[in-house]
Amino acid sequence: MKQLFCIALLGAIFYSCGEEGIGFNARKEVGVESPMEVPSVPVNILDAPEQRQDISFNLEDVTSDLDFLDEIELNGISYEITGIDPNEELDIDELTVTISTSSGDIEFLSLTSLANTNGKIALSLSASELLQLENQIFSSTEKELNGEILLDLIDFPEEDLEFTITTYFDVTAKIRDL
Amino acid sequence: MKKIFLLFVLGISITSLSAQDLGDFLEGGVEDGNQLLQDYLEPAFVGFGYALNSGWYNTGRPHKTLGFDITVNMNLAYVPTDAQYFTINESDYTNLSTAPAENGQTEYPTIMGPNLGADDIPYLVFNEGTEEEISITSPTGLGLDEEYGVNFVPAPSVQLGIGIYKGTEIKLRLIPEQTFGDPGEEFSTKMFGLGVMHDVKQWIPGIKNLPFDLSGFFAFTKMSNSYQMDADYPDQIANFDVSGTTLQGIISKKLAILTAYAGVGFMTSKVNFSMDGTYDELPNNPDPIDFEYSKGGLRANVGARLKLLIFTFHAEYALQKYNTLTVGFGISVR
Repeated sequence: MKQLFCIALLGAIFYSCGEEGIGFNARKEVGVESPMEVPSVPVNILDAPEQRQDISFNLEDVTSDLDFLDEIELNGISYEITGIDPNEELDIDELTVTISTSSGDIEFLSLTSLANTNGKIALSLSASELLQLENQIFSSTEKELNGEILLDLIDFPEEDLEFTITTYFDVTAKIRDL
Repeated sequence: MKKIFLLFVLGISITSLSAQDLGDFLEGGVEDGNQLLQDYLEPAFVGFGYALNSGWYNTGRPHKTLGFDITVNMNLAYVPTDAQYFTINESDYTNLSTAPAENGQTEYPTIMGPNLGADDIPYLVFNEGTEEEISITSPTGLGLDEEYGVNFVPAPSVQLGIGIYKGTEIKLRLIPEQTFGDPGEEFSTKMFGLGVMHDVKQWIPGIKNLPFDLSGFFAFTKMSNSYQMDADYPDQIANFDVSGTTLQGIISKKLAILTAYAGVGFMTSKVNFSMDGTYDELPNNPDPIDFEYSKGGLRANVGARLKLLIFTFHAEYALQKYNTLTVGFGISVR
């Protein structure tokens, strides 16, 4: 009876929809936070070594409970850095985020200065890189991307440094044949 | 976020949509939800109002005293092309903005619009600029035009006409309250309509003996429907009420078994849709949906009736905002 609600409601006889059936696209930027911590050390130690931190982006929530999910597309990726106080801004040699895929690694973020971004910044990824990441995320059962953050400071901070890199995945879930 | 994936589908109740999902639809805000639904559903509801006002008569000659007819009609209100899409004016919304479809399309199909693939439908953007921002394509249309070659809203009617006195006839449409469905998910409907046709030619010197019939006609109809949407939430009830009036002048000419007739006048209709009850997503907004359409305008129709002994068959076409075809049959005595 519930399924006939619309029919009864409108007093009409809507037997079916056309060939396209009923479906919709839902597009959202899914943010995944990666907290970073750099401990302070005595000031007389210079030339801080590289720090490497494993990173994992789990997008399982995007797809769970979507019984009629037909396809998921990755439209783009952006990032945001937050949590750095003005007096904590440091010179760095590099900050890179590299993702491992079955087709090879993709370095999708590479910075030479560390400061809050004041908003999201879109990454310039090629269509083939996006497709490579999309395949890596959504073809696996875990819906997960794994990689590494490399932070190479010029000097160690005088105080503990904490900040967050939030990576936003702009995804479109295509629901079909409801 | 997951719940919002399920939200967008009023009119798509043909799915596993529950009343709670309809509550989710309102996540963009009650006022925005009302406005969206009103635009999306307009041609179906308005068309029903036009259809319900049709089919009241098939001759301009009232019954003689105690003469009567019982007539069954199917009224089909054709949805005009410009009602197959609607546009969203962002200034009318507080929490909704728009984005074009992947193919650049910016107009949104109404429920009576084409059945488009989701990639061809523009996005509705909720909570833009916040962490809760999400874009969802609008619901598609039912695609009746592609499927059947016609795009109409049907409204059946059954009526009784009785001649009373001096060229006056009373017409009655009556459906006592009927309830269908399982307990907790019941659909109820009832209708009452009353019309009066009066032979005005008899009062006009100079034409009362001319060989045609000329009458004035006035009628109103009220139909009420309600649906219990979910047995687990008995207070969640959808209501759909339609009322209409019509004022017409009718001229007809009987030629043996054939009667040709035409009418001209005005019609009005009012359609109200509401969703009563409390929804989990809107605990502080009981009865979240309530909107109304009021339409009116000129109406002209032409038709013909075939009478074989006491059996009648008729068809007419009415020109109005939603042009309406009526076909029907019945019995008619005196």
